[in-house]
Amino acid sequence: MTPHDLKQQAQQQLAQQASLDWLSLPQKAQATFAALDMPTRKTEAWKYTPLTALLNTPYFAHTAAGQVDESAAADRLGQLGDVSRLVFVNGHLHPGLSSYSDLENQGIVTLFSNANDAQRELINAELGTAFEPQQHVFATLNYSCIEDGVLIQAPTDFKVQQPIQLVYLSSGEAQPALAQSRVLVYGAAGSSLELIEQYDSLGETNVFHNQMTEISLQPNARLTHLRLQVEHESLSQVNGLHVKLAAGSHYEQHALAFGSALKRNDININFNGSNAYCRLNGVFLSKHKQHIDNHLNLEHGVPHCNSDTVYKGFITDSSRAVFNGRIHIHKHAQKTEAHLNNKNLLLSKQAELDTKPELEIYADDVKCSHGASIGKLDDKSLFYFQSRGIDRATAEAMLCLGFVNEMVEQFPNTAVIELARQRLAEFFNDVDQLNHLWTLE
Amino acid sequence: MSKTPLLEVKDLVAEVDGKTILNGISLTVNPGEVHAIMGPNGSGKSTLANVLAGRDDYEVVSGSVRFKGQDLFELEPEERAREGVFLAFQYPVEIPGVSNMQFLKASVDAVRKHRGQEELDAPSFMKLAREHCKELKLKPEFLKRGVNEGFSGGEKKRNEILQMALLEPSLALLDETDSGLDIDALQVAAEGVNALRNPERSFIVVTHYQRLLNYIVPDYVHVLAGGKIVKSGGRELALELEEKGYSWIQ
Repeated sequence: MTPHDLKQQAQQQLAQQASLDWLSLPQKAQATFAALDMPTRKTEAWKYTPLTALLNTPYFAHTAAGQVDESAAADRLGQLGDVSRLVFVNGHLHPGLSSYSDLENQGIVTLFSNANDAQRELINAELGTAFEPQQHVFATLNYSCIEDGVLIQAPTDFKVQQPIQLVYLSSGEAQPALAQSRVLVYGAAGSSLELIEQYDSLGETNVFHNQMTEISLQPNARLTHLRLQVEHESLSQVNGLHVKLAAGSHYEQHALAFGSALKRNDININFNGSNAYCRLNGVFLSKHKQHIDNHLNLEHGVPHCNSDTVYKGFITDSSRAVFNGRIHIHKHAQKTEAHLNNKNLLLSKQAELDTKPELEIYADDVKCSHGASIGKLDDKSLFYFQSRGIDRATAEAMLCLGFVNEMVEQFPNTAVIELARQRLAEFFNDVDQLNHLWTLE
Repeated sequence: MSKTPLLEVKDLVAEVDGKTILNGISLTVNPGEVHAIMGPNGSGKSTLANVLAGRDDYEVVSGSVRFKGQDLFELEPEERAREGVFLAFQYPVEIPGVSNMQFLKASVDAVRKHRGQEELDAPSFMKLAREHCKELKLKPEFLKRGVNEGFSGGEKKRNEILQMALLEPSLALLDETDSGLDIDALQVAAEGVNALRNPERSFIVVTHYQRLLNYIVPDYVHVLAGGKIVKSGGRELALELEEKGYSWIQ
């Protein structure tokens, strides 16, 4: 199949479904999608992203049905304590596994299909505005047909006590299928919210998950965002996260992501008001023949905003990872302070990492730094372990785990750390020498 | 009474990047003895400690080292540690993401296993580690932090002593344990070392200054210069050096 056939297949498939009639976006998105080319290896932003998984599997011929064994799915959700939870199976909300009535009653969590007039207005005003559609073909595909979605609204000057856990489960379908889901987070002025996105799976999966998350933080709103992308390696996923930050808002993200057949993360942060802050703290891991692609773009469009980005990569076997982190300081964004660093551990000669930190500065009074490193394990550290009686293989394993754990232990939620560690134990289970160590406390 | 030496270094020559650092060192350490190695910067005293611990940045050109009767150079660094060699580092490495407790437990487990001792279960180990922390005036939270991560100079050195206490070595090599310590931290570290002194355990104390030797009183003092031991004596030699400086010996 060619990228062009792929696109036509998706269009035909989505034409059979109906969007919510009050939404203005799908029509626009369809037109944009029709005008855009699907990416190829010649598309600069997709240069290092293999499209084989997409081209060789007829994902776009069917829409996922989202059937699941409920008890098996329930076991996969983790023990996150007192949270409001929405579970989606291959893009479909699963009411039996979800529990969010309290926040639904307060108007904090609303399905698009249940939105009242004010909420419809908000969705129409906000959805699709945090990114440039021409640059995100999969986002326009996602918005070409919107049967439903989730609106999370933190009210003005209100701290939402309960974290909201969104679980996206991927499971096996009768045939390869497309799963799409979307969430819009609107933090009203002075609000505060914790959002946990858990992308997980029940064994092997044959879906292509196309996800969109848009976040709009109004003045002085705060969002703590934890993201685990810990699905089975058979998954293909393109995941768009687009954030708009108004004056004085505070966005903090902590992410753990595993590679898979295809995994592509586009994170786009827009500073729209001064004194906003963004922290991106992420760690990605790939093994076997997995692929993971992280594209970060920070648009510093206004003065006096700060951003701190630290991403670490763990790449082994014949896997391939990409990190592209761009800080763009616009002409008027004086007094910006922006730092970005990507540090990688490359453990196999067959593994490949392409890292590209970019800094584009058009203002003259800013403080910025960017850097990337690719390395093996540090000899001095290994010797330190050995000098304490620890054999070299164990020392290597502990250093690897330490490398990943340094990021995970900064997650501001201990239950999520615990869940992350469980998934990491699964990930390391078939990586030589690392299998038994993660549980060591 | 003649003892079997714990450590016998004979005509040891070692180099780094083709440059000779140790140029024929001979040294015998019997069980229970404390030897101080003093010398100016660049004299090779830290190299000696690191070569004995098995650091592979240094190439041993000639000479021999026997530890408990066996050829030390046939052992990997971790095997030396399990046999009872312990190096307290001058610059302990920071290892973020691995908790001090995790590290200490893995280390003690490995060493105990080799020595045919039973593995300590987690609660017993925690208890033991906490007790030693208390003696070294380290807060219990210290065990939860990443290995040496963000530790002050004094904490790093005390962490080395803590590891030494847990591993119960037969030969402890203290590589400039006094560097970067104020007088209070120095006393705490020295007390930790003195508490471990016994008739079976030996120490090689590498230091630039005689100050440390006021607290850890050596049986012998050796002065290293140009990769050789140029003078050996008792404790009084350190005092003499303090007074006259290294130029007196060179």
